[in-house]
Amino acid sequence: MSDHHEKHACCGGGCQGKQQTVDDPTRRRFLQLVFGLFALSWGAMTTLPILQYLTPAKAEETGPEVTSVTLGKLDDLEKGTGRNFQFGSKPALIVRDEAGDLHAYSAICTHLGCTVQFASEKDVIFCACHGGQYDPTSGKNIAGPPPKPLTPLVAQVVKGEIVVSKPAAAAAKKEA
Amino acid sequence: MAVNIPEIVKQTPEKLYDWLDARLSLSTWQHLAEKKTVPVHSHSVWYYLGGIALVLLLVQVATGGLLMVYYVPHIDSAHASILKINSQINFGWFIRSLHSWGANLMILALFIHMFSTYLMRAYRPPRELTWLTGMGLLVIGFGFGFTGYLLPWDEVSFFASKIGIDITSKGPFIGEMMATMLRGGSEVGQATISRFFVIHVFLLPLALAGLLGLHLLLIQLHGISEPDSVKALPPEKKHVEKFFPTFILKDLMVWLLVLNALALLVGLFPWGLGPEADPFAPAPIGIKPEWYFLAMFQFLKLLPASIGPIEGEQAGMMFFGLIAALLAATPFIDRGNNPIIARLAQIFGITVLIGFIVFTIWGFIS
Repeated sequence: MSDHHEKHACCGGGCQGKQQTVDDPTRRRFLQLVFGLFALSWGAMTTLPILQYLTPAKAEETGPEVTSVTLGKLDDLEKGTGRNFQFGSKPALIVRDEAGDLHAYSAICTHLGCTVQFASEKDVIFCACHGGQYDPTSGKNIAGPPPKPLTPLVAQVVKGEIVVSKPAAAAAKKEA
Repeated sequence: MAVNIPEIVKQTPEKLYDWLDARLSLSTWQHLAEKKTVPVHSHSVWYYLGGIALVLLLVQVATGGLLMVYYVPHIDSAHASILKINSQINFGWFIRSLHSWGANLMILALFIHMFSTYLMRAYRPPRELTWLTGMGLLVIGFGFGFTGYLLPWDEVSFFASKIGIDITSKGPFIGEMMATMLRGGSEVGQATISRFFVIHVFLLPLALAGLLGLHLLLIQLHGISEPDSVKALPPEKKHVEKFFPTFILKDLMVWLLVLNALALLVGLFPWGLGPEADPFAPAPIGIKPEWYFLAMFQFLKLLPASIGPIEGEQAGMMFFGLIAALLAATPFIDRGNNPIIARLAQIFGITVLIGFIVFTIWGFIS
């Protein structure tokens, strides 16, 4: 009560005292701060659900993991040719070199993710998007912009059929 | 008790005008339009470019709405629905070609508009925000081009989107997150079509309406900019014409020419459709992006796999980012009070323009 009296006294009147409280810079700053915090939290409260909503659901993404695929008879793939195929949800490529050896890779160019192909006339794995080239027997990047070799897959012939597997799966099978 | 409105409608056009005027302040608008003038000088021709972009935008809105009647944004139907529009729907080929050709012409008009305003130094204070909103509109135009390109789901569009999203993923900090958000998963597929469709027909139009509104409002507030050579003339030597009706009528004539050019292109070279996208097939030989991304494409192709510690693409994107940032910052650097800076800004603009043209042609022929 005594504080109240003092305030009135220093401002010289009842109304004046009230006015001063409203104009109090500390109080103004506090209200601005509260307003800012409210605005921020409202912003966060609306943004977060939207971002979460737009983030692809994990369950939808991961189907059963494919570790190997059978591509049909070895004889159907002539020497010096290659073929693109589907490996799980990704594109892959198999090349049968002139010596008859098989080489399989993920067909995703390590540059910007285009799908590569085997160019038999030049004997290179080639990306049409930006001209990247890979060695068909090692998957190594040999020309153009790709920064890394192609991811290798393991190609085997089982009972006359070509079977392509992920390296880990192939190793596990070998051990067994 | 009779209602006023039908009586007024029955009365003479003047009465109707008065009635509307009292409610919409038509005379104020008319007065503003009559007061607005457009400078007349040897570079006046560039003043038509913004209007050309606008009329092409209107074509996009109209044809886009019509395409939505038949287009199905589903991975199994997208390509078939465009094929149907092209081959079975009456005038379907016409509407789609108008949309595709119109989009390209609009981007071209935006480019010419941007470089001409830059070289006439129309960005200078107080028009910094007009310049920035204009750049924003060009970016929105690119966004329309990029998202719209995927929707027909043919093989070229599939790889173009794949590459575009991959480049996004290499952006700093939030690049990977943005790429996932755009793709809607780890592979370009149904989720990507859905997302690109929403961006193309909802998000970007919304952003465009807001930004274009602001851009036009700013032009009204500041009036039409004059190049330095005209600004320096004494008032009695300056020529202006009324925006309404003189300039607007000329504008309409130019729009008619542009629409004729568009119709000619559509008639002579209807827009085709490639084979349906196959996510497991190799990229087709000779694949190239749309012409307005060709300069960037060609430039990126020349970069080595890595430059020092960073990947070639990242270095390239940083370089493009730097050019865009410099273009955006130009109004704040060249404020019209330093002739050396003005000259440098002009050299920079001309270099970017020539670089863009050379790399585009190079990309086209290589």
